[in-house]
Amino acid sequence: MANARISARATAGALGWVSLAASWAVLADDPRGWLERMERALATRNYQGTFVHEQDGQTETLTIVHRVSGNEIAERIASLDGSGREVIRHNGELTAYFPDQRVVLVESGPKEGLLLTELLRLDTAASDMYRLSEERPTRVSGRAAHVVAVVPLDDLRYGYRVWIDDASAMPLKTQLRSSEGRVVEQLVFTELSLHARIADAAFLPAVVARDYRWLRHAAPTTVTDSQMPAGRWEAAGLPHGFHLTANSTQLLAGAGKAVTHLVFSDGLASVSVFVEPEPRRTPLPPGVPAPATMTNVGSSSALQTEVNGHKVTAIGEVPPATVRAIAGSLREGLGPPGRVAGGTRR
Amino acid sequence: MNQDERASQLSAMFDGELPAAECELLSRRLARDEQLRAVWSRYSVIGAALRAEPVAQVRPDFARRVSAALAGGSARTRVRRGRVLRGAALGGAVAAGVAGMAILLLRNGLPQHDEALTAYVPTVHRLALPAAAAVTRPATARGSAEQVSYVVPPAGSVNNLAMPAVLAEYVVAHSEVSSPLARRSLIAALIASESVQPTPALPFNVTAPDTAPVNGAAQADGQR
Repeated sequence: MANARISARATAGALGWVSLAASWAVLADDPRGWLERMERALATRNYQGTFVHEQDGQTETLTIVHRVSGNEIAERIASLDGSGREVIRHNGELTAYFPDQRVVLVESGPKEGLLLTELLRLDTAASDMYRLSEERPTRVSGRAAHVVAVVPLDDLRYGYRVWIDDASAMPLKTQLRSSEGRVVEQLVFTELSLHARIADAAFLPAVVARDYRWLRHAAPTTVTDSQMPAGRWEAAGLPHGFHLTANSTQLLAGAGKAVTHLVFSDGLASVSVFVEPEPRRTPLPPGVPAPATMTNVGSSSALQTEVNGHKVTAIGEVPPATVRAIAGSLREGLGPPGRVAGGTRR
Repeated sequence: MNQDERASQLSAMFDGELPAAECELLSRRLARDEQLRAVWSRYSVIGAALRAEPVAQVRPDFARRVSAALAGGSARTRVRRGRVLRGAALGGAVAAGVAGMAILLLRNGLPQHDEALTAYVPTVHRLALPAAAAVTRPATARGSAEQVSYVVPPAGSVNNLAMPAVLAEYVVAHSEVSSPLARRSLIAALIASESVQPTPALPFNVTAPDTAPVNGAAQADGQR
């Protein structure tokens, strides 16, 4: 990060830091207070910058531009290296460009009732799972920063260490850490600037994708009965601290069929479970667990398996064992619980 | 790829010795990598190179100077401004990166074009860039001053592309319900990780070899 430059530009003044500071006065000067300031900054600031994503020894430099206008969030995150992939949220759609694959995914959104606006819902219940602490203030790229640690109390979840800019409350550096303190993933801003306004042009893709394969759902506002996945899904024996926070039926880009989307959360980490009908070609012999495929997506874990003739995809920013345990807890209606290879029930 | 390797690749491309496939990748990187574009700009070689004009010989110390520039060295060449401007106006995948250079240089505190550089216009080895695949965004998209070009993979290389997107759609959908920090991490991983390709060549009912279940009881369909 030798070349790191953080500049809170004069334009930031137009955002009304004075009034913002006044509102912050009600926030405690403790770890929770700083996390809330950061949450507020992320939810209200217009900013753009460059950050480095490091995980598993791989480093990628990305650019981000983020604008909040009323209730709408516009954002563009793009790779400055390699693949040229970029993800843009604008005008009610989330569009992911994969130039290396010549594929574009379009998700209509946000999904009412699912899009969370709170950063860290660390309520009393979550205190059983995480411990908050503030470490000695330091500097990141020449900026004074508060260091807040969210430490997991077991190995079912990851924790965070966040370096929060003293002046703007923006996160300058974020680490995802295992319960043993191992850094699983790190994001560090090398450039960050705040803006009063950001033009729409900043959210245009750099790639011309006219001849790419576009995958989007037909965007029906309701899912018809014939599209509904059969059965009602529930979880029995979830990992400690996790509970069902959302249950919806939706269409995914390119899927062409409705999937049940269940969301489990412990107040900080979340795991999505997608269930869709997909009978296997050859029935499994009785007592044989279904095969499962685990994939890492950055620090998140994704498990694909099958339960009672349904394809189940579970993904979340938690250790693989937790994703596996949540997928393993699924059961359809009142029938017998589906068996997932390696599934752990607690 | 480290800086030295990239410098070597860049000089090889200047010398016309880089394989076509690598030229394509490097062009793509040049279109997006500000540091690399700055190097190109310093030596004002992009335009001539992409124009494929008949040229003089590349100066023998060119590769060394490119390496020095990548390493943050001070090797510079004085040039006439006219050549810089002319180079910046050129089309083509890499040249587009130069079009917005003034803005980028200002932002990064790199030498402005006044200071510049232009010096010598090397010439040209015709680069093996896949011209047919080079796409330039319409000038109206962001204004001609920031026109961005991009070299896309050849149209024929699209075969096994659907499967990675299959997992990607779940990642995108999950990002919608994640906390802001986790969402950014997910999107960054989706962008950065070309490994978002679960089992691209296999149907769902087959398990990849490296995904043995914890209890070891499950096997891929074909292995039972």
